[in-house]
Amino acid sequence: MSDSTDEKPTPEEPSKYVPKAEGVDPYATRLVRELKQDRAILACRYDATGQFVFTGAQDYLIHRWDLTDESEEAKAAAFESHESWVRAMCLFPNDDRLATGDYVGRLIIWQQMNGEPKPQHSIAAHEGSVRAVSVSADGKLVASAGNDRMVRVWSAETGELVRELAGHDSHVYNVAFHPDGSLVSADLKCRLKHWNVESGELIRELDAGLLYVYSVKYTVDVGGVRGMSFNADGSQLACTGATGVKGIAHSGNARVLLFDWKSGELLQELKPEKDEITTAWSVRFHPDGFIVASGGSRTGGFLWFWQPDQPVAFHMLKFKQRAPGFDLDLSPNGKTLAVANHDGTLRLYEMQPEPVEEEAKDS
Amino acid sequence: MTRLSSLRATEPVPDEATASLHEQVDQLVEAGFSRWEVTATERCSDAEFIRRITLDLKGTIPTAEATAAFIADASPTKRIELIDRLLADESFARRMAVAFDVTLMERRPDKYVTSDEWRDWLQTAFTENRPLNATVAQILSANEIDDDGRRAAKFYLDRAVDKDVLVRDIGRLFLGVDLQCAQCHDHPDFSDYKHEHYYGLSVFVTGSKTFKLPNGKMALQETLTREAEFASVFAPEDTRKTGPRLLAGDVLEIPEFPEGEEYVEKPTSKVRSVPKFSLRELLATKLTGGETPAFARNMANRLWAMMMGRGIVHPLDAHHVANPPSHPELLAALAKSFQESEFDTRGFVRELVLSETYQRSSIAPSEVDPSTIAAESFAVANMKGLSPEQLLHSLLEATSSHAVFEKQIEDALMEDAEAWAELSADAEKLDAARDAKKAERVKEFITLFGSTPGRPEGEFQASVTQTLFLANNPALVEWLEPRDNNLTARIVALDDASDVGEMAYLSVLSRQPEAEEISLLKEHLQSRDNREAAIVEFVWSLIASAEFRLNH
Amino acid sequence: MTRDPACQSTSHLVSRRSMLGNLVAGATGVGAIGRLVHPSVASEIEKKKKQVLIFLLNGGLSQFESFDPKPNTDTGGPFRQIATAVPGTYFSELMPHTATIADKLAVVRSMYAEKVPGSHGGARDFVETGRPPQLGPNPLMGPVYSTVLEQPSELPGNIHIAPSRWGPRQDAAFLGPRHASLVLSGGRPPLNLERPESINEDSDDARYRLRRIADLRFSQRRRTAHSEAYSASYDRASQLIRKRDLFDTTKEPEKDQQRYGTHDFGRHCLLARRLLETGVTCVKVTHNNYDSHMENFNFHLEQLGEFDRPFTTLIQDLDTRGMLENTLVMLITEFGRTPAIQPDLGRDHWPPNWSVVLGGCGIQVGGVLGATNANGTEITDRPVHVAEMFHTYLQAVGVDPTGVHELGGTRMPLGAPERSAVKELLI
Repeated sequence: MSDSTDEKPTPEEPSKYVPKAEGVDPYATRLVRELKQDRAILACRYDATGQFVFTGAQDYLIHRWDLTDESEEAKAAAFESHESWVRAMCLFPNDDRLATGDYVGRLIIWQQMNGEPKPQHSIAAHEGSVRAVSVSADGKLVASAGNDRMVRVWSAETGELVRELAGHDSHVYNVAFHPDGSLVSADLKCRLKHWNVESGELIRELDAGLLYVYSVKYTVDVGGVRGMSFNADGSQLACTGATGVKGIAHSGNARVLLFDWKSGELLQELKPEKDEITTAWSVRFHPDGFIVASGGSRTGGFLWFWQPDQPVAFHMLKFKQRAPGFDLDLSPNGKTLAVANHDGTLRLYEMQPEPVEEEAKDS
Repeated sequence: MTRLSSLRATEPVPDEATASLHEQVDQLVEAGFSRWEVTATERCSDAEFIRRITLDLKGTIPTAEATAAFIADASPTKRIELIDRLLADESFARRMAVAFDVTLMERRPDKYVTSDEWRDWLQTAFTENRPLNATVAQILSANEIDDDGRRAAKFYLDRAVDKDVLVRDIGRLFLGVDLQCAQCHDHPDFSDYKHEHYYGLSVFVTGSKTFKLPNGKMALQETLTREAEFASVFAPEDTRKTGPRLLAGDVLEIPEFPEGEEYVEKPTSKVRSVPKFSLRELLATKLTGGETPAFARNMANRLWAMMMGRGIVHPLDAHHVANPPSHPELLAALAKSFQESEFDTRGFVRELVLSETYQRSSIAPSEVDPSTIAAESFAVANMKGLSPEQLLHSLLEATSSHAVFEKQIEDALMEDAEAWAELSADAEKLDAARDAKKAERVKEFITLFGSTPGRPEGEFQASVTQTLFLANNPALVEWLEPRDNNLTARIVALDDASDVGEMAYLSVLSRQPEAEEISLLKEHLQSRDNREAAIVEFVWSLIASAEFRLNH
Repeated sequence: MTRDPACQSTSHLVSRRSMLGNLVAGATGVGAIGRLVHPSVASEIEKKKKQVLIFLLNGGLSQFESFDPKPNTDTGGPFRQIATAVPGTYFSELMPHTATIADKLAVVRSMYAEKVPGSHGGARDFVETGRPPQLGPNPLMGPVYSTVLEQPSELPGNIHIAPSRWGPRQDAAFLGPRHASLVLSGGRPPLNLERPESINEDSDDARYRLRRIADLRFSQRRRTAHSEAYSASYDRASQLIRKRDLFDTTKEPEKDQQRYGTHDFGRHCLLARRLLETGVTCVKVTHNNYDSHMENFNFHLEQLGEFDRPFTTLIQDLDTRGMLENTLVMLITEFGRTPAIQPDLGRDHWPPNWSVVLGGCGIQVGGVLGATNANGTEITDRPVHVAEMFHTYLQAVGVDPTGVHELGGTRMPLGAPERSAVKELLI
């Protein structure tokens, strides 16, 4: 049993997280594999089986790593179609399709991701970058968000435009479907819009303004919701970015804002134990009940772990490589984290101690 | 042989053999008149004198009371007495400290030593009337690291110990020569600025670097350097070397040391390196010790220019074959006298301001077209612009706005209610905050009216930005609104136009009004509906006039 | 070892390569006008008054995201290149409007400078004065133009439309405050232009009249150089106050206000047009800020998004008004940005090669001078030093850059003596 007593920890002291029985141990997080690509990786996603990890990178390609190949010489299969960097990525929940978006506005719905991937639909979805894509829980709709301040919803079947959602007054940085079929989008100024997709109406707005600032010195907007994720039942939304950014020379302090979805209230401002100059880029809710995010800056890259009711991270892993973790994904079995690093390496971290026995565990 | 005049009330009888410096000045200046075909103008009036001498020795205009009293004083020795009073006052030391700060640092932003610290250090030197060469020696050697001595290092430190900037500025400011072009080759126009002069000077400072003391403050350290290598950009393969030298002087000796024994403290990253032989000490000694004529000449020239409005070598850092002194004999006499007096600054300045040359009016002789009178003849007084500091102080004095100014500072601090609550609880913090706000106002004046950082205060010039400030700046306009017993408040209480004129002219222009001026004033007051506004208009016209803006 | 001084060896490259695009090969320069000892005014050939328009992109514009795109390379970033009005010349897709006026511009892709003290300020001074800052301070272009080009009689001749936080600066160095740029912070009217409420126009006139009389009396038997200069500044001040509408862009047609955009830079460009139309000799517009050490792509997207259309609109308007022929236009920045994309998706400072754009008076437009290699890490053709560009900025408006400023006992060269203008850029 934990040694926590009735005494609540002081606000700045993280309390210890107690791993669940049969659950993972974040404290034991360790690097288990490095999968090298040529150029910086901007996005990574596990497929539903956990056999594959797909990455989007600065080489314009979609890469697929087959994790069953554990050899040193393992290479990713690469698929061309995009004509710019790929950051936006979302897997279809129920089949072997993948939606990706690039920096020059193209949205591609790929099929046969586990076999011979090819674009099913290639859509000029936005003027300027597609910053994020999301697939609805029923797999019928794909939402994209872009620099043209628009959110668009497409039929996953036909590739046709179903809805255009206007209203953002700055670049739209992120978009995510809620399990109930509604949609949330978030922009550079960290205003969130909650949409009824069927009617196209705005349901309400939320404010993640802590992650945004207008820099007077540099006369420019700085910030944005970089990473956005619902928990499994959609009762909470996490938004990542940085606060207190002074300008465009370097970042501010990484933050993950945790919202109660029903009320729209900000529940927590999750932060590292010690503030460094970093941005939090991506976040996942773990079924065991903790929240994990990746991020960094020039100073380095990090994984942070929080309990949802405590603002200060209970654990932090500093990468040995000086490369921020731009994206993060959780393996379907909840044991491994895939981190997309700027140095072009996809890294897998297991959240459990090294096995004592010789047999390798399933990944 | 010259001697400085003693502090006697009466003037000594001129005597060739024992002519005082101020008498020599006058003789030599007068001897030059025929060259420019000029005749000297009259002595300045008492009003002109008190304003000029107070600005020159105190850095601000005289009070109206002091002006009135001086004009009314019948004593034949009142000018000498005024000079001596001003020289004895602490404000003289302050004025000299500010002037030397501006001359030596040229408005560069503070880096490691604050302007306040440095000015305080200079002021002490002037209060003690420390020989000027000793002060300069301390600035050039900059080997002390105690708090006091460290401030002397500002000359190096706040130029980030940049070799090229230092060589150039040591040349310009202490020797009166600008070696800039000689960094790359012999000067194309001036045969006396040579490439090896530049590099000879650079050897003294090449080994200097910053070092952070354990207390966090920055000081200088030094590694032993013996020579510099250089090549003209027009003949890059032809490399030469030089040891340390001061302009055309001989290359100076640096003692030999057995290898490994050159240091008292060897250079490491943790310890401030101290060589057994310091090139900076050598520079300080050789430059200021009397062996380098250019030094005494330069300092004499600069002090001359401070008082007379123009150097005998002009510009002050451009002494070369194509720009000789306007009065070579005079400059030589001044340099000799200054050196022989052991660089007695106060004594030297006294001699200058006792001279007829200094006390000439800026008004040309009647029947003479002023534009035909060459500035370098000193036949008529040259006019100087008020420095930014002098302008601010004088504006406050002229309009009696010290109280208003204080109030404006308070108001500015009170704008931030939260911060004000904190400050008003802590007397020390409040004082510091007030000082800081005042410093901001001073900085405003300096930015507007001062030179570009890194440049000398040049000839007087006027810009639209400055003028708009004087015309429309709200804070300044407030000083002119009748309140808090300031000048306009007291004037508004006067009925008679003559009294209005008398008080205004005495306070602002440090003189009495002429009859015609009173007439004009009467006319103005009568022509305006609002008497108060009329008075404000009139007072502004005086502070905005060239007569106020200039030291004439 | 001596530090590399500004005076470079005289054996710099003078490539006779023609510019790419539709330019004439080996174009001759204006030719030596002769060593002028006194600051020159417009050349004999062209009597029309010359004007200058300077766009300063502050912080270091990335050449990759603007005029020298390298798409699909390890250094090029995510954006594409787009065709421009000059066949064979491509700009970054972040400048779609500017691309349409490429035929009115000359792009130099091979700018370079050595590192100087003070990363931004020093580098900016180097670009704007043509001399290394450690040899300075030297006067910026605006003040220099104010001594060599015809000035308007009733207006300030040299105006800087600056970002909000930029205040007045003595940028004239040894030329003195009279030639300092008039700085419009945030594009607002000069400080203290408005009379305080307590002084109405009538009162203002009265006090100025009295002041004038006082000055006349004072200068009666005195040398008048100082008091005349002083009085002149009051005349200029009151002219400026009367002309305060000059700084009010809402006086321009509504249509134009929309075309330029209501954001700051848009209004500043419209203000620049207004000032140039009324005869201000040199207008500089500074756009803040391009120093994207972090997230270079986001910030260049935002900043160029602000910049592209108003810049284009202004050039086009000058053209349609027939002013482009006599107005030198330049788009400058203090250095470029690193080919290597940093871990926070930023680019750092990069003086070894960057891009600068010219247009208007005296410039051969419609092409590109100089080139960089495939991924933009070095110059492959016709390096152009910032000091050479400074010469070019003078020569283009008919001023001999080998002339000098006469200052009492000293003479200061206009341009660095060991450099010369870039002949390939000049008509």
